[in-house]
Amino acid sequence: MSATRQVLKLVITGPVNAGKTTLVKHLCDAQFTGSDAPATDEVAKLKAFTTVGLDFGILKVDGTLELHLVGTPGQARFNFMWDILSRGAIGAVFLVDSTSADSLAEMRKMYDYFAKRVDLPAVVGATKQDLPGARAPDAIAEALGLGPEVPVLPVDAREPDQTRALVLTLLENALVAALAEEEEEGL
Amino acid sequence: MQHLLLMRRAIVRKKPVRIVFSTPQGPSAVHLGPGAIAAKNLKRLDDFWFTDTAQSAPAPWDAAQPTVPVQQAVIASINRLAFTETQMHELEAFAAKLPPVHVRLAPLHRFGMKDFTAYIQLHSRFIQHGPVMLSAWLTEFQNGEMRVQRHRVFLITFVLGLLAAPPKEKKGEARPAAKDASPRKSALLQRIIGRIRSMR
Repeated sequence: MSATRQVLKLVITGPVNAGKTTLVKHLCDAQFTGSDAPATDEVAKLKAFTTVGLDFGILKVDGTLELHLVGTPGQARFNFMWDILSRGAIGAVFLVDSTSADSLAEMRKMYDYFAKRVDLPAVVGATKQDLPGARAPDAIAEALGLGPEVPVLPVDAREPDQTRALVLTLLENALVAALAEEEEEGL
Repeated sequence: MQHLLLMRRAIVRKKPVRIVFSTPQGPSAVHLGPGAIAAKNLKRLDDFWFTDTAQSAPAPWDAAQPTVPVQQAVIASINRLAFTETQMHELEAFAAKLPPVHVRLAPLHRFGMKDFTAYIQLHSRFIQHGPVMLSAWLTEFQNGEMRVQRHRVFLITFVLGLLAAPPKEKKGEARPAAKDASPRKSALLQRIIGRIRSMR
């Protein structure tokens, strides 16, 4: 009899032009589906194409377990999607453009919604730290009003090793918390 | 070092508890609630870390009393610690009993941790190379400030529940594949983490 297939979700979110699509591509090993379309309005000033639906990739963990990587659109008006996205999710990676005040303002709206309604471990990746005008991770944490358990790490979304380290940090944080809880439950 | 386990358990459980412990001046006690410690007990923590005996018991918690976040209280107290050689050896002996551990990253510098750089180095080593043998990490420097910093980092991260080891699989226990109907969250996370680590 074949073993039951299991699926867990990792949500990659944050404002436009922060590197979400690139991160999803780096982590998946099968079936990447982007939903880019020519950018319009303010987004067109940042890049030619932007994600209008969901980026989706699959990381096959082993014969019975898959991690589904879901990249959200980069606008706070899509916050309502969290109700669906958080089901079966193991964590959320937020990416923010460290050089952009607009990105931080949008991210603040997205994080505020998340913090009030979603109970998932989270980590923030501060991208474009190598560019002039980039805010330091601590300044970003302060501007976003992050909770005491959410770390901010500098990350170059173009570098697979760095994006994997960011995701590992999130998952290991979730693991240590889960182990501590299970220890207390006497499992 | 049983008292460190009591403190860790109280912090992880987030349930009101009073820990009574011995000091050279006589018995003392600290009162912890969900994520916080009674502000009036702050200074007493300084005498806790190397106590000989400690006991804990559930205790009513007055939510209206002045409190301090438990991370801030623990860090402020341990920041003040200047270890004796004997105390560092006690911590090293305790660490030697632990298996390789996973390290959780928390922004402890926001709570005033002065050895945050040493903590980041520990976490970076863990992310790059996997579970860390703490006894080896603690004794890499035989003397000097780096050695003291690492002992403070160990004490803080241990009691705040930021270090954890996967449970040992007992002999004769069912194989994980046989338990796949409802695997523990930690087991699923470990499989995903192992897969991502293998992508390098």
